[in-house]
Amino acid sequence: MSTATATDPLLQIRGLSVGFPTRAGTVMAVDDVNLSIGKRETFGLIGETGSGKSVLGMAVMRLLPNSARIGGAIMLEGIDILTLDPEATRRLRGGSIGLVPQNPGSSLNPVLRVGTQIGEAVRLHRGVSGREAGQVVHDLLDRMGLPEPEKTARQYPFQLSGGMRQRVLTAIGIAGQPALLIADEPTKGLDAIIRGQVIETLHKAARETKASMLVITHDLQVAEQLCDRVGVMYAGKILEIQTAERLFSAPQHPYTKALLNATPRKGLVPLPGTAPGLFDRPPGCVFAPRCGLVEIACGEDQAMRGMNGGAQVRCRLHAG
Amino acid sequence: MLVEAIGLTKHFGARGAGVAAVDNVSLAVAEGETLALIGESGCGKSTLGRLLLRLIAGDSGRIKFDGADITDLSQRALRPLRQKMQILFQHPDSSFHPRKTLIASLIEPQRLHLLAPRAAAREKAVRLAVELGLHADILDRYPHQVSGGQLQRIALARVLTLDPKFIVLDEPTSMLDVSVQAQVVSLLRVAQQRYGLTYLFITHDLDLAAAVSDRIAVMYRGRVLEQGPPAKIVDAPEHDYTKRLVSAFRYYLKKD
Ligand SMILES: Nc1ncnc2c1ncn2[C@@H]1O[C@H](COP(=O)(O)OP(=O)(O)O)[C@@H](O)[C@H]1O
Ligand SMILES: Nc1ncnc2c1ncn2[C@@H]1O[C@H](COP(=O)(O)OP(=O)(O)O)[C@@H](O)[C@H]1O
Ligand SMILES: [Mg+2]
Ligand SMILES: [Mg+2]
Repeated sequence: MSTATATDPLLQIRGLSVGFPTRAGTVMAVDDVNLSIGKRETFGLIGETGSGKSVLGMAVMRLLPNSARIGGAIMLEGIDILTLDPEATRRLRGGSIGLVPQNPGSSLNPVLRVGTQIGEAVRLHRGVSGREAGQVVHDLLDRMGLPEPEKTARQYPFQLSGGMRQRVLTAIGIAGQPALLIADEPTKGLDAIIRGQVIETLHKAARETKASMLVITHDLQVAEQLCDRVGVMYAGKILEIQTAERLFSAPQHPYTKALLNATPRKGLVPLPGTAPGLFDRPPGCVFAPRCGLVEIACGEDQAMRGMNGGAQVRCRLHAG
Repeated sequence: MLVEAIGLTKHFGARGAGVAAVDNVSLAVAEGETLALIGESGCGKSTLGRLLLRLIAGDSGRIKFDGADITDLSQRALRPLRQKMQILFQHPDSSFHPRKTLIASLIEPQRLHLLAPRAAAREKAVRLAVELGLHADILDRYPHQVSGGQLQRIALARVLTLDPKFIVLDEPTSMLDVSVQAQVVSLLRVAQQRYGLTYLFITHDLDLAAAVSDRIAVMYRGRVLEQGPPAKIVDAPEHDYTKRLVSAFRYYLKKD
C-alpha cells in the first residue's frame, strides 16, 4: 500500500458522526469522519483516551447503544451497514466483521475448553458442526501458530500463557471468515514481549484470512509495526491519514508531530494543555488551542485535504 | 550512596513455599541519580520498592539510607526518615480519599508529620501545585473531578510538601496517555533538579527507562540480572532475558 487512500476499498466511512444526547445537549464523540480501508489492508486508528476511537469501532460493528445519534454512511462491500435490520446486523458481527476482544485475561470463559469456545463461533457463522467444526477449530489454531492444535483445543484458558490466549481470541475473531477484522486495543496492559507476539499473531491472522483489519490503539508502536495506513484521531475528528511509514517519519499535522515528539524515543517533549472535553470543543480546528502555529484561519473548521505525497491532512497550513 | 540494598530477599506466604518475590537483590542509588527498575509485571519491582522504603519487612538482607543501616529500626525510630523517603503510585486515585477535597488531601501529610500549622501547610501545598502547572482553583475539587494526569501531578505535589530526598516512582505514568506522560516526566525532572531528588523509577517500558534514567537495573523473577547505563543495557545486553526485552522494543515486523 503506497498511497494514502485505499485504491480498492472494502470499507468506506462517509461523513460519520456519532452523538450522545445528555442533559447538557448532544455530545459528538465522532465528528465528520471519512476514511476507507482497502481489501487486505491493515488500517490503524491512533489517538489519546477519549478521542473517539472505540466509538468509531463500535459504529462499524453496530454495537452502539440505541440512544446514539448516528449520521453518515458505513459502506461494507457496497452495502450501508447502518441500514441493516437487526437480524442482518447479528449475522454481520462474527460473520463479515470479526472482532478480537481486548483483554485475553477476561474475554474467554474460564470453565469452557478453548476448542469449545472457538467451535461455537465456527458453528454459528459457518454453519458446520460436529467433526467438521472440530476440524475447522484445529485448522484455526494451527494457522494461529499454536504448535499442538488438538492438545490446545482440549485445554482451559488458565492452562495457556497470555500469548497463547491471545492467539485463541484471534482464532475466534477469524472463525467466521470475516472480510474485516477489528481489534480494539489488542495490546493494552501487556508486557513488551507478549505485545510483540500479539502483533505477530494479528499480522498472521490478516495474512492467512486475506481479511482487512482495523486496529484501534493508543500504542503508537503497534500502529507503526502492524499497519499499512494510519489515521490520527483527536477530539472526535480525524486530523491526518498517511501510510504508517510516512506518518511516523514525516508527520504533517501539528498534532501528529506533537504526539510523536512526546514519545520516549523522541525525547518526551511535553505537549502543553489538555485535550478538550466533550463539552468544551472549540469551534474551528479542535487542536488550535494547543497548537503553536495558530492563526485567525484556525477559527474555521478545515476540510481534510489530500497533499502531494499522498497524506490527507485537516489543517489550514495545508490548504490549497 | 543515598539508598543501598544488600542481599534483600522477600517471600510472601509460607517461607520456602514457592519462589521469592525478591531474591537476594543488591543495588544502590546515588544521591541525585535516577535508577530505572524494569521488568515484566509480577517480577518483583513494587515489592523491591516497598522493601527499600521499609513499607514491608524483608526476610533477610540489609537496607541503608543516607549511610545508616535502617533494616532493624523501630517504626518510632523510622518516623523522621519516612518523611525523607516517599512513593508515588501508578494509580494516584488510590492515594486520595474520594470524599475529601484535593487541598485537604494535600495538606494532610504535613499535618501528620507535625511539620507546619494548617495555614502554612496550605500555603506550601498550593505553591507546589502551582509550580507543577496546576491552577489553584482545581484544588477545591474532588479526585474524580480532575483528569488522571492532573491527579498524578497533585500526588507529586503532595509528596514534595514533605521535602523528601528519595522517591520511589512506581510506574507513575503507565496509566497516562503519551502526551500526559511527557508532561509528568518533565515535571519530575524539574522537581529533581530544583529539590535535589533521588529517584527509583519503576517501569515496564524500556524506552521510557532509557529516556529518564542515569542507570537501568533489569529485574526478572525476583532477581536483578544486570545494571548499567541505558546505552549499555540497550546496545550490549548481557543476559538472555534482557536481550529478549530489548528486541521486543526494537523489533520490527517484516510486512509482506
Ligand atoms: N454510551 C456513551 N454515552 C455517552 N458518552 C459516551 C458513550 N460512549 C462513549 N462516550 C464518550 O465518547 C468519547 C469517546 O470515547 P471512546 O471512543 O471510548 O474514546 P477512545 O476509545 O478514543 O478512548 C468519550 O468522551 C466518551 O466518554
Ligand atoms: N502482598 C502480597 N501478598 C502475596 N503475594 C504478593 C504480594 N505482593 C506481591 N506479591 C507477589 O510477589 C510477586 C511480585 O509482585 P510485584 O512486586 O507486585 O511485581 P511487579 O511490581 O514487578 O509487577 C508477584 O508474584 C506477586 O503476586
Ligand atoms: Mg477505546
Ligand atoms: Mg508493580
